[in-house]
Amino acid sequence: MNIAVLLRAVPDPVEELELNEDETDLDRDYLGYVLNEFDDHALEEALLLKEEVGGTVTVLGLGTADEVDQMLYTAVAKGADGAERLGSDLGPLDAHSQAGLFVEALRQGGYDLVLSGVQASDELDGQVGMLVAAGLDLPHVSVVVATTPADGALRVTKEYWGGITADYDIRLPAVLGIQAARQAPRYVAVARIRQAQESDSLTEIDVDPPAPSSGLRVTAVRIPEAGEGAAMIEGDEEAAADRIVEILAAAGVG
Amino acid sequence: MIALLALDVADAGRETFLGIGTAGKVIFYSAALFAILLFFFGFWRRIRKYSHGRPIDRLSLHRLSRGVAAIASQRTIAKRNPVVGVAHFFVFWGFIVLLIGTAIIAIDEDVIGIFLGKPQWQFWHGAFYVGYSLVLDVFGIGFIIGLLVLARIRSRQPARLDYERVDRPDGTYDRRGYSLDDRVFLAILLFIGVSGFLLEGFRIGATGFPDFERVSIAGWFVAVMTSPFGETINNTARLVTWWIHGAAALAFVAYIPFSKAMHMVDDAADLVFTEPGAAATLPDVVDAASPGYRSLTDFTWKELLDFDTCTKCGRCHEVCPARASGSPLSPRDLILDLREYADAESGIKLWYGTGATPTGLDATEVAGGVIGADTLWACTTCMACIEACPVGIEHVGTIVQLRRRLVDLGDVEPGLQSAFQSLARGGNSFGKSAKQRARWIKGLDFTVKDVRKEPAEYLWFMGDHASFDPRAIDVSRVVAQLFHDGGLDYGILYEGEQNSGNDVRRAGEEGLFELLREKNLEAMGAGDFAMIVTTDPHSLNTLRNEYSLDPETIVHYTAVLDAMVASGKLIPGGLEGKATYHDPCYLGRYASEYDAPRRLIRATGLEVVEMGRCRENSFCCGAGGGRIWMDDTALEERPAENRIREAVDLGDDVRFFVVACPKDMVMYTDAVKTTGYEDRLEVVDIAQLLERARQEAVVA
Amino acid sequence: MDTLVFAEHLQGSFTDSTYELLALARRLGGNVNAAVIGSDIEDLAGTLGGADTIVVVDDPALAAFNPEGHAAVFAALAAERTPQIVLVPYTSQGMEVAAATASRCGLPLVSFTQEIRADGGLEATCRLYAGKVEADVEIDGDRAVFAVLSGAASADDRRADGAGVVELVASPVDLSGLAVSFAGLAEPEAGDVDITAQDVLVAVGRGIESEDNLEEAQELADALGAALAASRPIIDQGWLPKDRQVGKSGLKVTPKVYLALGISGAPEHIEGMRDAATIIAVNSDPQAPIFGVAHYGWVGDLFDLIPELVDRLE
Repeated sequence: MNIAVLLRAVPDPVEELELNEDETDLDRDYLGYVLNEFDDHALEEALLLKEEVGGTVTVLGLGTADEVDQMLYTAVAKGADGAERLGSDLGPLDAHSQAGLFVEALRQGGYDLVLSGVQASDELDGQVGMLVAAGLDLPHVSVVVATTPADGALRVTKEYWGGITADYDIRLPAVLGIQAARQAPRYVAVARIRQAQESDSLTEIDVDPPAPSSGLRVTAVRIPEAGEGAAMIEGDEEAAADRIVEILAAAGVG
Repeated sequence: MIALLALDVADAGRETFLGIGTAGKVIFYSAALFAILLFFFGFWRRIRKYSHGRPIDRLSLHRLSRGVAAIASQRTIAKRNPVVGVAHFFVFWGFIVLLIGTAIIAIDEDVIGIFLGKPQWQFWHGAFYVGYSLVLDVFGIGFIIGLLVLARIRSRQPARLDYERVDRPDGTYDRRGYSLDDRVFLAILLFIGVSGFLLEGFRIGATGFPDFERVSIAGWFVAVMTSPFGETINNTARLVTWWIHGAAALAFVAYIPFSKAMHMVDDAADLVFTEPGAAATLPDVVDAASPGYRSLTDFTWKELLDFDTCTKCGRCHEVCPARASGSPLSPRDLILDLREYADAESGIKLWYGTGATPTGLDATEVAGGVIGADTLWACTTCMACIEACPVGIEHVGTIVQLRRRLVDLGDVEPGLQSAFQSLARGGNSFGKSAKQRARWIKGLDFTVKDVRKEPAEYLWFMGDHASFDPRAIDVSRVVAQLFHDGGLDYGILYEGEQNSGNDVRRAGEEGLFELLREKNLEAMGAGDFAMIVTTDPHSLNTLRNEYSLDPETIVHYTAVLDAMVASGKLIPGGLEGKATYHDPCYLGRYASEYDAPRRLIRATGLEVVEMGRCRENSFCCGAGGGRIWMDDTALEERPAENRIREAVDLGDDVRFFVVACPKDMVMYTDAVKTTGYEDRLEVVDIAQLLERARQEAVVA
Repeated sequence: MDTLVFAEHLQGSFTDSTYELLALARRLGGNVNAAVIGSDIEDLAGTLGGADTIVVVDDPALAAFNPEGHAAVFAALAAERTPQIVLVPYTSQGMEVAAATASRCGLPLVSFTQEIRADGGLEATCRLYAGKVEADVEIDGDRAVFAVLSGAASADDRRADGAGVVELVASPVDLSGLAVSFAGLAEPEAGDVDITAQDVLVAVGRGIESEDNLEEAQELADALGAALAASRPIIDQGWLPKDRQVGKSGLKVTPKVYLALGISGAPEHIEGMRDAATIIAVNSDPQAPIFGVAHYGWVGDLFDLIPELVDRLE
């Protein structure tokens, strides 16, 4: 099975986000990017499938941030057979632009399966995985938490809510949005990532920066005031405990 | 004594093969040759096994003289075990003297008498013989008494000599072979010793009680006891005993390399080649494509020697904090398992069979197979095992090499994995952005220099916990205040500082360690400073030993504060009461700094009450080696809790538990809560004590 | 102006999000049309309050939710009827439908929608970066597909029965030869505790740090007569069973009191507990988004607080 995994760089959720001067976007000057957590799961699921049924895993990234190369090399160190970076210095792109670039590259690849993370934190104009599926006219199932290979097809488990899941059989080629891999994403030693960096495993592909096509324009961005909603309790743990017991009593509890 | 001096020694001497006859001599010499050949065969097999190991530079005159001194004094065995030390001293020297005694006879009789054919050069008679007899008897008695004392200790079945495994349930392994080997060794030595004295006694009786033999006090005593049986019976007894004693001795010679007796050679060698402090400076990765140990030939010859050296004394097993807390790690068993592995790989099978369990040896991997991953991850790298080992085994370095292999395989504990990922991303293990490193400064009423922008005399390298953990940040603020008040010209690296990498390296992630080191050196390179002071003993270790920096310029903050107090720049006042001090592993065992912290505590006016396990025998808090990032829910009792209980046992009047390491601060603050002793014992850093003392002085 | 709402249903009843979307649609004004897609659901469709027209596509192939089938049908309906605004819930079912519809109809797609404004041009406010950022968005043209976050409107407004006109139509697409076929539903094993039936919940998040510490939290729960619940990371680690998970892929709870300890408040979690009557949040990070939805908050160490609370409650 030849699998493609789409890797996206998103702002590091650990960082405190700051806004740019006219408050229309994040201040991207010092922003650190990391691999979208769900894409990491998508990669893990792909590697597991490869271990089960053989084939290749190719990771694709977009040249939207400096950190993308490192993400791609890490994937290679984990066991991906090849990595492609589409473009460089593209800056942040909306989901439609990303999907457009991915679709171009995927058409060349002859993949049986395309995996991407179920969502990314900056996908204002839709989920890239689904837009890619629409662009390639391939069937798509999202919020997948497990895959089981079957002849020429795949059984996937989709998660609803309250722990309810549903199984679907999907004919390949197809696109899946991964919520969680069957097991936690594996660890790969930094030394192996550095070795991958020294090898020739990254293919750089030139692309023209796409024209925005989402039909959306962000006019203002705000970071909601922390504790806006809550009445904050002052004092140390003893004062807090006293107050909380009061609140509980008022609510008829405790 | 005067009577002895008056002995007529002119005719002193004895016939070696008295009454044995030519046939007997032939049999004896043949048997001796055979025994010696067997010995060399076994010995060669061992040497060949060690030769499979990687080279390591441990040959030096300094080590030789240090090793010989240790062996001669037996001080490593006597350390914290005076009774065993003295007993083994006599066993050791008794054996040596008896061995030399036998060699003297062989030289005199066979080399000079027969081989060189110069009977006139023979010396084993007269005054020499008398002196010889006295010395041998005295040491022989010491030898036997020593053995009896050790046998008595063993018979009391102390916990450390219990070979129960900590990583497998009863019934899945069988170590009776080890116990059998122990008992056979002890029995043979005792047998040889006792039969030797019996033989001497029979001979003295059979040769008519020659006067000069009075110096052979034990033999003379036996002779007196057996004289009622008459000369003939004594002579027969003598002949029988001669053969029995001879056979036992020759059998023993052949037996040495196939049993615990080999420790006599291996352990002496190990004490010469050992470097107990080696774990402070871990070796670089040999083959970048395959870091860590995968097969027998990856181990150094010193490590292979280590595996054979262990006499199962159990001291490392006793002191190990991981073992004490219920982890599946026993340093002793680690070494023994690797011995069994090395023997199996080298085609050596020992007669006593150790019942090695299939899962261990059948595994194709050493790291994670022969030695379980849980076992390897349990180590805190505290070096208590190395410090306690009387024979120079270096457990920690081997564990790290095996961890390197686990990391390469991706077999990394989940907590550790997320710590590594956080470290790779933000240079800290807290999952925080690198930019937040210097946040702790907020609230100080003075500015702290940025060493990247302004020159300062000292760079204060903080360490992760001192910058990010709220419990340790309190201490950092106090230290900053003390430095400021003491007039220290210092600055910090702000966001340029990364985790020093000490524990990352010890957790086996060498690539990440190199990355952190590179970044730190880059940030430091941009700065202008002469000295480095650190509040973190772990950082102290790696900065001194594993970064390319001048170790003399790197100090612990207690040294700086000590100097400030000594020179009057800081004047702590009069606190009253008693405190106990916990020696951090990386300041004590790793850096040999025990006194400055104690001076500081006394300078505040407090009295220092020592815990039983103090100074180089300090008991680890359990955080080192990456353990602080790992899950400890499976532990029966956390090491820190064990330690708090030890402190509480010192008595109600000891109110302070003093630490000098941020991780200790974190671990013990938690432990004192979970053990319920929060109101009884206050966990406080030396800096906080000093500050409190200064404030008391002001008030006073 | 008219709206088309994807009416989400599972196991014979409409979900809360359906009613929320209908309420939202009503607020926007104009004709509210709902699409109910399934098999043997005409009766159910009839119970849907809050819509002016209820378009029903009833086909055996659509008996269980089918990401391909339902999406194609809904997209086709939207293409035929050209509503101005298409509303789809941002849920496991809804997401599948949104992209197909936007793509088929050539409409802009707005995700993570919190608010929609349709007077003059079309605008929305969305929640990005795991809920940390609010973005105001202008939309080109006057038509769009919106994937709406839970809680954008109150579900209760529109639960009124009946009233809508049911329009039964044949499937606008060929449902044979779908690449995706349903293979079964699995429900989690019933646990010992039903957190949706509890009056008081003590919920723990990453701040609890280790499985060991759950004991302390359980002590607190016992002292309160409450049950222990958790956010996703705790469940993923296996420290508590799945039926204790509160959130988007867990359960929605509406207790009298919800005590959130060490939970940061990612939107997926908030979705599961925002309707609790009294929410008290404890977190060491003053910027934690949970404080945005809590009624009371305290910034501090939950391990310091728990023993104090237990003391006072016992």
